[in-house]
Amino acid sequence: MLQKKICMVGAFATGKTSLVARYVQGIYSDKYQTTVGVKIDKKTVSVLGQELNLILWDIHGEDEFQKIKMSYLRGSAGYILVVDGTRRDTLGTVFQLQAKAKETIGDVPFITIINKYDLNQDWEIGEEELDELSQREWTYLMGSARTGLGVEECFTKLAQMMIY
Amino acid sequence: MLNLPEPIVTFLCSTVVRDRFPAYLHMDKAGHLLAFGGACDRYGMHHLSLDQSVDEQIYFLAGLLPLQEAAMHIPFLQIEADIVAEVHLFTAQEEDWAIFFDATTENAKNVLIQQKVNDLSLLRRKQAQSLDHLIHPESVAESILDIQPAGEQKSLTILVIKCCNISGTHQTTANPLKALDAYLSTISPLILDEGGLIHQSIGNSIVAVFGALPSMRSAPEQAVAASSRILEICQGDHALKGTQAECALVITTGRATIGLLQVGFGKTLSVMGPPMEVAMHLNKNSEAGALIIDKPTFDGLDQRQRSFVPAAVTESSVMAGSPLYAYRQL
Ligand SMILES: Nc1nc2c(ncn2[C@@H]2O[C@H](COP(=O)(O)OP(=O)(O)O)[C@@H](O)[C@H]2O)c(=O)[nH]1
Ligand SMILES: [Mg+2]
Repeated sequence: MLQKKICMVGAFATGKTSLVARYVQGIYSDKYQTTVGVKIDKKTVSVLGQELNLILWDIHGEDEFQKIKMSYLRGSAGYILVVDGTRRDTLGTVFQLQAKAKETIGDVPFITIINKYDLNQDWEIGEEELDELSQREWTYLMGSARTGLGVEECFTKLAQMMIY
Repeated sequence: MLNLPEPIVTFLCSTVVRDRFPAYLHMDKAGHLLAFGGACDRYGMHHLSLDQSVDEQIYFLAGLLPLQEAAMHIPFLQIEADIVAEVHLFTAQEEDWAIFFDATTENAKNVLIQQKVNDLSLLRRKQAQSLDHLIHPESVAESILDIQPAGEQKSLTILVIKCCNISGTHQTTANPLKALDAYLSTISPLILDEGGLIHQSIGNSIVAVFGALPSMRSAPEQAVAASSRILEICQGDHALKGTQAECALVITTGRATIGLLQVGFGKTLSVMGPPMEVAMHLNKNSEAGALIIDKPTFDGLDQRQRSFVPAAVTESSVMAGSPLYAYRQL
């Protein structure tokens, strides 16, 4: 079966681990357990009639103490940029990370998920930010690991982009 | 090896190395498994077959082999739910090697520390948010503020930061308010970090107060620490998005009256007294990139005094009524 590596990339506490847990195990927890290093999960999916084994690399978030090593992205067929919709600065983080990712692994398909959409009262991503995403011609969607909104869609869409 | 005698090497191997459950893989440059050994099972590598592709047998290495770099180190790779491995991948003699060690315990320790760092960082953000950039002390909880609600006299240190390239009228900044907001969101965490409060913004200046929150350090120390970080940020290229950051800073210290004023439905922090007046005055003439402090602030410093030199006597210093000191970056 085809193995496809997918990396989760973004600032810390944006919901990378939660999105993988929601997608792979269908579970969610509000308890925050930070990731140090890399956590690997896998899930078999059928995309456009093709069976794929997705290998999900949940990489720790970027902050002052842990910088993401771009070499972790080697061999990825795609990656997911995770933004916390309640923290506008996490969008800036993915802009930077994407540029670095491109330097390292070239033009590999990626998708941006603006997570925590269930917290819309604290939402910090407005028209202007969405415009910026559109201008960059990035594929993005709103999602929530908590409610499950957009999660399946995010992975499926990326998988389609990867085999297309 | 490392100039260590044989008994030491043997001892290390039979204790330190063994306790970390080493395992290895040996691969050719086409990604086929040539050999393996050690505690492979521990890392979820069961039923390995030689001469077969590693990619297909060991899912967590998929995509990494053949190795593109000379070496790759993954300090913490969580493979099985409860096993974290330290992985070294390297090329030697035109072939790839992988070594695995158990790093479960070390990872657990790191998680604890990193968790604290993240929690604090999120907390600090929440605090800044609830301050809504400008302070609404009721949300800080009056009990945290080390002041009497009715107002009291207290020694305070005032830091005024002028954002030099913003002006309300000139065409230079597209949207002055947005630029000020960018400054605030960059500067606020630094001030909060060092134990200060954002008092208010006046024109293109941001006023912070130190000494209102309980702290182990002197208020001048805190204010100078915050200032040097602000200056550093202004110089770095990680500065403010879209704007060239330029700040002029002044710090004054002295007794002032601090209290909470009822304004509408909320309360607002009020600070009055000589240090505030002197600060506002010095702020008028302060220059981009400079940090000027008054004598009481200088006297309140410890090691950091060494970073300051007496400032030239100007009209401002005469007005301030005491000598001034200028920061020199080392
Ligand atoms: N409300 C809400 N919280 C979320 C969501 N996704 C993650 N979180 C919370 O955000 C925090 C960080 O999540 P985590 O998955 O550990 O982030 P990571 O550091 O990017 O892996 C945790 O407390 C999660 O419970 C979401 O969709 N909605
Ligand atoms: Mg995580």
